[in-house]
Amino acid sequence: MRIIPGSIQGRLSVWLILFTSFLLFAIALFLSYEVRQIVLTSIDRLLHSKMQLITGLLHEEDDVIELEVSEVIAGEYAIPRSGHYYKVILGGRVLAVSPSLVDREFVLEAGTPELYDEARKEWIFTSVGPDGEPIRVLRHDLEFRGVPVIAYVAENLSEGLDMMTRFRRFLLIIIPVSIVCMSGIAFLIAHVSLKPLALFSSKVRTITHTTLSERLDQGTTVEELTVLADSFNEMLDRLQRAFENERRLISDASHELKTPVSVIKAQCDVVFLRDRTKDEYLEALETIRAASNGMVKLVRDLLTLARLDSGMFSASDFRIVSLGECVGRAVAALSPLAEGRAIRLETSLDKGITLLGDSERLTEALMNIIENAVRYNRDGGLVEITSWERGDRVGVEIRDTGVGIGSDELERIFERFYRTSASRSVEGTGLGLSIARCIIEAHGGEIRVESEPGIGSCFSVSLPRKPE
Amino acid sequence: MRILIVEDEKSLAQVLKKGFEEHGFTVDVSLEGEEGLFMAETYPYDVLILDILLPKVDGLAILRTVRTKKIEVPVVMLTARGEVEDRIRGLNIGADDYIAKPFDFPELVARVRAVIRRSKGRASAMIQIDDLTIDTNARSVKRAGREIRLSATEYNLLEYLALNSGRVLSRTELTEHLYDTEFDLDSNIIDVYISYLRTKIDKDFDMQLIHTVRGAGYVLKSDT
Repeated sequence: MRIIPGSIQGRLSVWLILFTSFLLFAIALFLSYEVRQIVLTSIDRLLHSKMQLITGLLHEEDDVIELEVSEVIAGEYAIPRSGHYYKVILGGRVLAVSPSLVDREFVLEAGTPELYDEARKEWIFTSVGPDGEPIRVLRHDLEFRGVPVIAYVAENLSEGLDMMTRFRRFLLIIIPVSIVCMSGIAFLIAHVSLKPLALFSSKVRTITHTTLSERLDQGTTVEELTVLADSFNEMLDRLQRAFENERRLISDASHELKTPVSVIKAQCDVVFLRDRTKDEYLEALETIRAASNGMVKLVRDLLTLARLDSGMFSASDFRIVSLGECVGRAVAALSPLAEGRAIRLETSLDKGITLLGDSERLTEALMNIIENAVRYNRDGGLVEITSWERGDRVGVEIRDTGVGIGSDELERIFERFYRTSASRSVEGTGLGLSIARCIIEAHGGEIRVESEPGIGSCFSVSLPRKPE
Repeated sequence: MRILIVEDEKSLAQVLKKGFEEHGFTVDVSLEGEEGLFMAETYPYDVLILDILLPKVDGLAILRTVRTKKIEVPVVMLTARGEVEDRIRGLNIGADDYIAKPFDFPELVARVRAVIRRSKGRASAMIQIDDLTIDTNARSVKRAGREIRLSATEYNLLEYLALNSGRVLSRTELTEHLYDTEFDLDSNIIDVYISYLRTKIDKDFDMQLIHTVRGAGYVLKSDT
């Protein structure tokens, strides 16, 4: 069985009850000890004054030491069950004994003394009286006229002990009652102080993917919860942004996929309107092929992005890669495209530059950037590719003589499906640079672009030799 | 019927142009919004077919500008963004119909014909003027139950006259609705086709349907 419950309210209650019970028990123990001390101290004080009185009665008359008992004192000790006793022993002989002890006896010195005063030669014992009652005994050793005297006085303890018992009984009743009351109060306090939390959680529960724009109101809740509300709101901000990005991506992707599908469908619908010549069929098929090629590339790019997003390639698979080789492969793959438009690809590469990474992905990233530099170049233009290394960083610079990018669009070209107004007429998926940036960032690197419209753009890729 | 297609996907625009032309429409195409808007404001189209996502000026902006300038041309929105909110937004701005990509081409043609009919105040695809019957779907013409064979241009001219029957149409207006932007408007080709139509439609009948309004143009109506 679990002693500590799962709920905060239960825990709070249990802890409050345990703590107050412990506190009450400690107070009870302390109080009963104190009461006992007070009772015993007052009895001891009484015994001391009685002792002084008794020993003060010793006197010598005609060389005989006697204890002269006055009427007043005798009265107190006369009654057999008074509970007041004394006994004086002079040189081993009983000199005097209280009337209450005549023909009666009890052990005056039981066990070891409870208190012992060496200087005053006083001992205090607790014993059992002749009637079976608890007795407090004071022994005092003294010398009278050179003769050793042992004097005892004793008092019944019953009354004091009764008082202590009554007090303990009182505590035994009051403590459980207090604990029961405290439990109720603890439960209530826990309930009241946790009420804002319950409200808070019910409010959080109402937020779903359709109401992501809602925020928790910090004004109505308690101070401690505003911190939580703030954290929740920040989390909601992030979730909402991610969710909207995702939704925009899906909407963009579906838009981009519907366009080639529409081309294919419309082309088929139109071509089947009537009988066509062979050339007309070929022309229609050519359009359909171009559209399906575009779709294939788009689907491939989308899958690459999805794979990059889900983190399916990780630094643990990185190997030592030659940056020059990656650039070389990318350039080789793109040279037919460049040659078709008489664009020169000039490379200045240091074959010795290596880094830890995924060679295939890096090649893909570089290919996307260089392909951009070729596609948006003028016929007969130039693409310069230079590699560099500085300290623990390496990189590639890709400079083109293309159309350039306006400063207002510079920030957005890495966004998914973003196409500059100049690029719309050029074939492409609008995902190449997003993929390049994803790959480079997965390597711990960064990609930057500077551009002057009409003159050209320069993409700089900077990578750490070893990803963190 | 003369229509304008504003669509940035070049191959789709070309296929649509070809398809609509084969259905007897005169088609202008613009690949971007700015030019598309200029054309929509300049020429008297019978329908605008607008894509929403366009470079420079998007389809909804073209629609808004056209409606602000009180150009009452029917507009069919054509877009890959088929969400309900987008459709509602487009229709609220003043679109007459909305068709989502990928679409069925015959459906698009039917919808375009429907908005043209409605814009001319007609609900039926059949036009009846006295004993002349024009089936705008089958593009067939009958007079007094007898089938009359017309060339594509003759039919287009007759259909336009019939859709606007009772209204006097100038030579310029007729030319503008039958020929695209590449056609030289200074031609009297309309007079030639009117005479062909008269030979085929009015010659064998007592009641003349095609009338010349001196200094104004032509009108198709029954005399009574």
